Amino acid sequence: MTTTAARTAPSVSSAPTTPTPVPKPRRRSRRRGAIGPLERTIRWVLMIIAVAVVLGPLLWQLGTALKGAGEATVGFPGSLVPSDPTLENFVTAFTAVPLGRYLLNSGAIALLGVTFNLLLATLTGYALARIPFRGRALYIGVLLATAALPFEVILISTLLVTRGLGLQDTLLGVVLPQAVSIVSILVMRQAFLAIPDEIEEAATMDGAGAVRTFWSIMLPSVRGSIAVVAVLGFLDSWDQFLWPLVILSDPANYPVNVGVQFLAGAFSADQRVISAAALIVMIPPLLVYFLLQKQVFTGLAEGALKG
Amino acid sequence: MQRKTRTISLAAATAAAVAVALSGCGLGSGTGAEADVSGAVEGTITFQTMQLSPTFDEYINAAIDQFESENPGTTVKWTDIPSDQAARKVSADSAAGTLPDVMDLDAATLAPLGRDSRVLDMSVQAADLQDRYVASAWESFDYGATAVAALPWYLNSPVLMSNSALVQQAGSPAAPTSYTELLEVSKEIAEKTGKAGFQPTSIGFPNYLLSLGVPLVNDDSTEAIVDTPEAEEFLQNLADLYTDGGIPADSVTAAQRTEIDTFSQGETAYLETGPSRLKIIQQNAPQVFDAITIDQPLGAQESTTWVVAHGLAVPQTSKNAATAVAFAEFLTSPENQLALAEQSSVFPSTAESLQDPFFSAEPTDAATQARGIVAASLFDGGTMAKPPAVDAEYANTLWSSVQTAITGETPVKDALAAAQTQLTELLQSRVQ
Repeated sequence: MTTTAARTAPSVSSAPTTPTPVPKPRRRSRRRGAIGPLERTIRWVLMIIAVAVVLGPLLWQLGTALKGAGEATVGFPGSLVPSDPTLENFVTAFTAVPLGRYLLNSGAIALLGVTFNLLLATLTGYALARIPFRGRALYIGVLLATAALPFEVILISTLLVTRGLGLQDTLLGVVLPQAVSIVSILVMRQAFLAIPDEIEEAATMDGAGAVRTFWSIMLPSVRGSIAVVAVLGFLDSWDQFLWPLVILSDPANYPVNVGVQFLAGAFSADQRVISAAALIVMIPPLLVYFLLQKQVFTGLAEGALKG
Repeated sequence: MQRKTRTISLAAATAAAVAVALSGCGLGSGTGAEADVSGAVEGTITFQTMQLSPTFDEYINAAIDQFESENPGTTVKWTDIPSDQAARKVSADSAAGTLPDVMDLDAATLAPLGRDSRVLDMSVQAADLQDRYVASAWESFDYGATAVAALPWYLNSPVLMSNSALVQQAGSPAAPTSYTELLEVSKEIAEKTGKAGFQPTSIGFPNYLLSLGVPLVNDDSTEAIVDTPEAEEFLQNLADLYTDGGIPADSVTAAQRTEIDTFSQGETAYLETGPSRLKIIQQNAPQVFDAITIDQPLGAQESTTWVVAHGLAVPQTSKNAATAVAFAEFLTSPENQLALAEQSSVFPSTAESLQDPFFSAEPTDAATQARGIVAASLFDGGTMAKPPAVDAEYANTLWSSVQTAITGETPVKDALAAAQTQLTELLQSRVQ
């Protein structure tokens, strides 16, 4: 507020030199915290550019997915609006490969992934943030050190362990190695750290035990971070490609990311059907995100508080 | 106290990281004697293909059924994997000892296994079958340590596709028959139409040099040979062509679009590729497809046309090698290969199948015309197997060196010398 006042002060004194009446109302409105027409225009232009950058490729893909068999899909930018629109490509995406089956597999993997992530990240994060125990710093150190390892590095050892457990070619085998992500643990730890000690002490004074405090006091306070972990867990599970490919051998178990690859091969690569399948695959993550959007933004703010 | 724990934790973290890094090593090392293939043909085997589903579901399933009924007591479990990341999956499976019993792999993806003697040597296991296959296919799987690492299965070899609309616009020059001519015609196309002649690729580059008589590697694949006068002249011409706009500018710098993409977009006049790509062009660019004319592949007269072979390999770790080899022999038989070719745009590696009237029939469209040309070229020995040491890794290393020469940033001579040094290092690292 003070900076705005300071900035406008000199321009008021220089007002007499500019005879046009236009600047005056603008300055007034600015003082009230509103924005002037020029700034408004700039903001709109920037927003339109941002939307075009984000939505443009998606709309282009939608255009391609709706094109009929006789239309070219190549060219830059080519014809963006199909002249002979058809929904047939979406049907073909389901019949050319068992896309429904793949979606179910991915759904199951994602559901398990989110459940494991929520459970393990919340408990681990809580312990690391609020329960003092021997070796806590060491535990965090190990977590941080391994967080930087790309999955490819531990691919073979993970494969051996998972096989050793007899989980090859099972959905559980796909989920377990990434049942909890280190980022999720750290997000939850930060969230629990941000809760004032007084709240916990007050709960103890009122006679709440550790479990009760965790469940009724702590968990509701970090709802936003839980949403963040849920979304992260969902995206991680949904986006997996290399690991399911390595651990699964029965194509009937493939998740959708591996499955849609079969639409684009050396013998056939119909961009319309590929686009249609890609759009279908995109829907579940979008739904999850929109459903949890409000909580996610609070969650990001929670993390920022303690930053 | 606080400081002490921190030191400990740091040490432990380092130890953990090192342990994790080390755990990848020391697995699946070395190989013992050749697996036993004398056993009875029975029991269950796993069979892995590279992205043949869903196009060939019917064919593969029928072939498996036939094999199972001809060999009572056998079961073949088929898995199909996407070709994207196939190399990684194979290397992970190899390290973990979980390779399938029969693997369909192209010569480049099979190379690491072949060099390390991790697959059965078919020149030992199936020596009597050599005459069944065309020579360039049989030779495609010679990795030194394993003389024939796979039974040749289907082949892919190119034809020259021209965008007749662009060629006419440029005054209808004759179709090029060699890479040298391709560069000349491309210049003409660029001058008259403003479009590019063709798009050079990293995978294609070794083929260009090989076709010009550059050996690429010495006899025992221990040293690279790319710095020759022929290579220098070709690379210089390519660099000049780049300046003239004869190749798409982004093909050297960014390579976001494949050579199929630029051709489909009508931005290049020529495309040398396998007939299987015709369908993809038809699907995505019907107008360009209608303008395609088919000609002999480049280097056809000198018998230097490239060929990519897929083979069926059996890993040393196979528990049922007898059945695995029997199945590989069955699937690569002339009858079965002909049946596969009849429903697809790939080519059999068996000489007998290539003589079938199916290939010599009077062409009715671009696809049948291309089929006839490639089959004749394969049967007449018009194709040349790439030295197996020249795999994707070799091609990428070579390409990254010549890229800057094409764009004119480094002198051609320097780029080739640098490439030769790097490639020799690469080949040496494989020997050890």
